[in-house]
Amino acid sequence: MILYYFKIRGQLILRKLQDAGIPLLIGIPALFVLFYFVSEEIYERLEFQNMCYLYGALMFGAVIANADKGRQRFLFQHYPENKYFSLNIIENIVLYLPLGVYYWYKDDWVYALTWLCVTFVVGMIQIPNVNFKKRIPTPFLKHSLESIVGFRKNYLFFFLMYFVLWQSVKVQNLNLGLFCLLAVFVYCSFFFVKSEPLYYVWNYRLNPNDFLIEKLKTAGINSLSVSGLITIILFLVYPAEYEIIALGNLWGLSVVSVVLLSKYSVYPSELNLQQLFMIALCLFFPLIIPVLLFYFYVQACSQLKEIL
Amino acid sequence: MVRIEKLSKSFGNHIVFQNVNLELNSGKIYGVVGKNGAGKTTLFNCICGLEKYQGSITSSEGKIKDFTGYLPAEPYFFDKITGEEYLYFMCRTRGFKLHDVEDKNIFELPLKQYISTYSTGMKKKIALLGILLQKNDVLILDEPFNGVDIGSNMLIIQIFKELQRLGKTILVSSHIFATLSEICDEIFFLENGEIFQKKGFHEFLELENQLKNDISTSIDKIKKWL
Repeated sequence: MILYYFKIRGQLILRKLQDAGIPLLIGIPALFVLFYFVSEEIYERLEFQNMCYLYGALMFGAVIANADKGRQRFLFQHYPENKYFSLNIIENIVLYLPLGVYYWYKDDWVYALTWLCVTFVVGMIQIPNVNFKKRIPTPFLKHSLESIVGFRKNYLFFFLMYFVLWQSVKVQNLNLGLFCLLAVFVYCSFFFVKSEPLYYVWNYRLNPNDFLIEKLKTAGINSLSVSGLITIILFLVYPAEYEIIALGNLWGLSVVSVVLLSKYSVYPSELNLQQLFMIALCLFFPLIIPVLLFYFYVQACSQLKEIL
Repeated sequence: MVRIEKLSKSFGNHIVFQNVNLELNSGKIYGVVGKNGAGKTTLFNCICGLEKYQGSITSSEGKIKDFTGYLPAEPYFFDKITGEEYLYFMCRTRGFKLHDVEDKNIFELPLKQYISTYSTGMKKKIALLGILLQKNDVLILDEPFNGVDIGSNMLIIQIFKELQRLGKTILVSSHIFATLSEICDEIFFLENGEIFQKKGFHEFLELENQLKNDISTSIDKIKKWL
């Protein structure tokens, strides 16, 4: 019974990779290699302690997301109680594995065991059926649905970044502060990765050009409204470094714009491997951003012409 | 006025409808009936420009989508969006800002709550309110009465009559024939890929009897094994 469930879950993941245009034989090993190199890169740039905060938060977020109420209720309804909890625990441990293996590789048993316990305990808890009717306030314009949804689903990440920023100020580490700034922009860009249903674009009484400008303007204002606090604090604490902080903002806004335009360049389809690769390139080679902005803009206009 | 000429739509080898000709005039309410899967939603999607099609759909007023409000049978809402935010978004898409949202909340919906906490009927009502606030000239409504309570159904009927008085064009599908016959000037019957009946008000009873005849075979079958 449990085995069949995991077989289905595995098939779903494989289908998602295939839908994203990722060849399985290359894609799955590539994900592990990417995880290793990104971890090493972060390890180089951040102190291990700070990296633990970051990875811990990411893993905890994944475990909590996995405890989604609808999914939990479905499983609880269809599986006997003992099997239901076993499922949860096994799934959480699978989510924990990359992190656990990495901590083990770095010889940090305390973190490895702590997070293993956390995943185990979360798996044992049945999330109560609470209907959260109170809305989480956001700093965004009321009509910008993608940003509002993104913020409400991930607001803990922003609090974590503000906490890390505070740490960076305490230890006078500008790099860590800049990391927070860039991480917030990159996270904001995730709000625009998923294509919204056609109806939400069709409704606009705008031509493709005006539509894209409206979207870019809103995305820019919203991203600045969450990164603004970090920028101000960095300016106040490191006034001499104003150029690098301003550049960080420019880079962040450009990344948000690239992701947004790339989404509409293939709309209403989802982003495929080619676009994701180009986005990844712009993260590491900022000089190609203007080229990508132009390319995605032209493609987006052509895609949207049929809808708008 | 919206003119539909030689409209055809197929998915691969499956022909949904072909050579459909319709004329939708201002100040009229048109109903569309047909079995599940007859192609009502596809027809609506084509008129709105959400599906590709063969044929022509034109309007003397300009680009149809710019003055058309579409209520899908199952409206999609983003998770963690409040009713108020959805209404702001709907108005913004038409280039104006929404003011005094509570005054316009005719269905008395809890606008500060997430739409995901709404019941099926409430979701239908917020979607309908969204397109009403857009002040469209043409309204295409796929099953607007489904899941909505009796009081709200009566209110929706009155809203339709008021919109008709204001010269708006309404195209509505429903499985509740009694409601359609109460509000519609004409009813189109979609079957086997064709709109083969365009009934005026006086012919509604005849159409209803025909629908009853169509189900009599199924009733006879069920009597045998029930």
